[in-house]
Amino acid sequence: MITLKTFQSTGYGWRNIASCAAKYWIVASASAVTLWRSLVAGTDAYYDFLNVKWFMGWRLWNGNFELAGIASSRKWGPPFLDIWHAALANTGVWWVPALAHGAVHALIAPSVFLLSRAVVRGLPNILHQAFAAVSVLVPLVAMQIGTTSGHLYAALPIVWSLTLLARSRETDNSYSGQSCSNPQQTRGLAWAGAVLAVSPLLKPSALASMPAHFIGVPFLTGSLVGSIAFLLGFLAVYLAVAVTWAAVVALAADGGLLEIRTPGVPVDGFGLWFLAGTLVAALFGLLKYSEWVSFLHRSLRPRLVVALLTLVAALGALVAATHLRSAAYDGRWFVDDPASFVPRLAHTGDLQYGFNTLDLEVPYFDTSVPLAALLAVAGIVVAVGVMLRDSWWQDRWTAGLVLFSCAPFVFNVWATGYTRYATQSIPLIGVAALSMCSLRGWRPLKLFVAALFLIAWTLPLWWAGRTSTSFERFAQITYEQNIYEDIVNDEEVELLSDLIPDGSTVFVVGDLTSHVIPRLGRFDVTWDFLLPKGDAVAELQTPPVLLFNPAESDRLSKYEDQGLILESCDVLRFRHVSLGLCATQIDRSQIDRA
Amino acid sequence: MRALRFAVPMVVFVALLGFAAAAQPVREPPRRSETANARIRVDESKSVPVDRYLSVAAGADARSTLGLGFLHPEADGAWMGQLSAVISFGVETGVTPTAVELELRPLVAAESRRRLVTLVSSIDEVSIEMTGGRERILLALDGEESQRVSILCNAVESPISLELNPDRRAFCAKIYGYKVIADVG
Repeated sequence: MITLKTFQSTGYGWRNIASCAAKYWIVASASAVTLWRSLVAGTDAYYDFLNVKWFMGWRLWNGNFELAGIASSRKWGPPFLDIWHAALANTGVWWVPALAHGAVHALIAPSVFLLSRAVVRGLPNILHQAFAAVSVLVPLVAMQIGTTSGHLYAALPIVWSLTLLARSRETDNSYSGQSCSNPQQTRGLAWAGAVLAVSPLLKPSALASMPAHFIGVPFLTGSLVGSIAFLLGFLAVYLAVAVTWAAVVALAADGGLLEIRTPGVPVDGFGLWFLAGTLVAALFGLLKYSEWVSFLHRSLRPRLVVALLTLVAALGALVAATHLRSAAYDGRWFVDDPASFVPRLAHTGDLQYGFNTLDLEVPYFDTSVPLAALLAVAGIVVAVGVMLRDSWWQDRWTAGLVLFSCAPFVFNVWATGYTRYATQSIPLIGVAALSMCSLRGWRPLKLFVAALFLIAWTLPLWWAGRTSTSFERFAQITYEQNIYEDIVNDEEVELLSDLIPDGSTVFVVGDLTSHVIPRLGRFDVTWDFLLPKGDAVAELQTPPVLLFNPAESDRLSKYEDQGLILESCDVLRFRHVSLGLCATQIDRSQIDRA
Repeated sequence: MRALRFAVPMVVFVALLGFAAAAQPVREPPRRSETANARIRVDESKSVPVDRYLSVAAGADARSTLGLGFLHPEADGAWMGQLSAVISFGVETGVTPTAVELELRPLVAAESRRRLVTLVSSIDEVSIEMTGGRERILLALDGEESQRVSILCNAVESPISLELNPDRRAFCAKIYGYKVIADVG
């Protein structure tokens, strides 16, 4: 039987890996399919990456923190994954990013399997394997394999964090309530929180769902000290890395260390430094004096502590959801009123009235969100049981696991309504379901329920002809065929580059234009995404060039209003994208008149 | 062995980063002659044969003649994404293009199936109220080697606003191709 320690004890020899792959062939196959899908799907043409993130990542990779008007505020947030994606895409070898993303995404199935085996006891190995495999094959996950959406990268730290939480449970020598009574366990829980912090550091939008994960943490740790250790581990690592990055940006771009800010944190400048410093100091303090602090835990009734902490965490999630709704970062998918909240939780992705998507840009068919909502309700029932009955205390881990895994879906439907923002938690749904099935009861019934859940979860995989089968990957700009080459090949890049004179200032206009800039590799050119004012145009030594999306050429008239005369405009119809290029003259008389 | 657990992924990661760093493109600015040659290549790509139907779908040669206002071509044609769009093409020396026949399909709602489209050349203007389905429209040309045909729409709408499908992009009509009719001297 494989355990978390199998590889630790037996090593990473090829023979051992081959032996494990043979024994756990379902998980191995799921990993292989993930890698295969990533390569077969070809070049990633994810809209957000081509529209903004490639240029942003390339710019930051080259140490240039001035984003020239394209998503300038994004530079303050942790951009590590965007830089990684841009660096890979800019190699000019299409399969390098496909292979790298596929290899990382292929870790999901084995990670989920190891977690499942660690936290769910008494169920057949094949069920663990099947649930782990399905966790990466359901459409909402599968459509992101090999793409730069980032959610599957962000899924891994969440799975690993839960795995570390499970390991800390193994060191919990008094499972009935005296948890977190030793420093080793406190450190383990802090580590688990720290690993969870990697998720939003990789994918900043995952930060929004974190308050919902925390609802399950008191049950998972079973103690005040453990919950604080986990939370401090998360906050200290997240803020330490995010603030360090913001400090680098402040020094490189804006000049003042007191100017720092980071998305999702309501304080900036000195307040942010103070907050990060305090949390890091508190984490070290807790780790150093955990034995002393655990006295506090021993003097409190565990069930009362867990109940109060859960209440605080739930209130925190509610405040976060209210903030997200009021901020309305992306209001396209909002659940407008409480009456449509439950129907949205039951939504499986089909079009409303035959034309309208409800929670994603594309139609799909996936049962993950409704099943997660169902599990969340079941988790609440178990949690209440744990609170009310001593005999249920041993089930607190199940309650915590289910809430940790499934609460983000319920939270996200209310807070943003945008399904994509919770997809990094989908791989956990199967583990949550198995955990519920591992509760006390008649074994045949538990196996039947697990099988039933698996059937419901895999419905989109075998019920052919539904909407999800009509597209390969999420939000690609080219749906019709897979591409096994660069979006813009060397010959096309060369042609475009030759049309941009030495030392030009290029004003970039419209969507889906910026991704070609990193491929050009022209450091003599000044790129600018902002509409210049007449004064700025007048100061230019040479007439600028306009690089634009041909489908948005009507926006060029705004540049004419600022004193530019469009001389000759060419539209380049490359194989996979179209770009426009206008040479200009500066109309100094118009600028003077203005 | 425990150290190997971290060392192997780290080595792979660093190697990949090293490769990525080395492979980042750096391109020198073009010389004047290279810019001039590039312009010639762009102009040449707009030269089309006459008396033959020319698809403007993805991959077709005549897609290069789609100018301002068109989205990137799809498998069967290209959507016009704003109120005006341009097709620019040239013919061989000695050929006199007298007309062009364009094949279009408007984006219309299931209930209100009307889209006013106007085609303009230097000597002709044709307005037609399209009601759905592909239509071919004939427009006279002035015989010059270099031609510019403008297409004007009374409105652009998105399929989602017309309750057709989830696409949120705004379209007027899709052009599938055209045929240049000429007197060959």
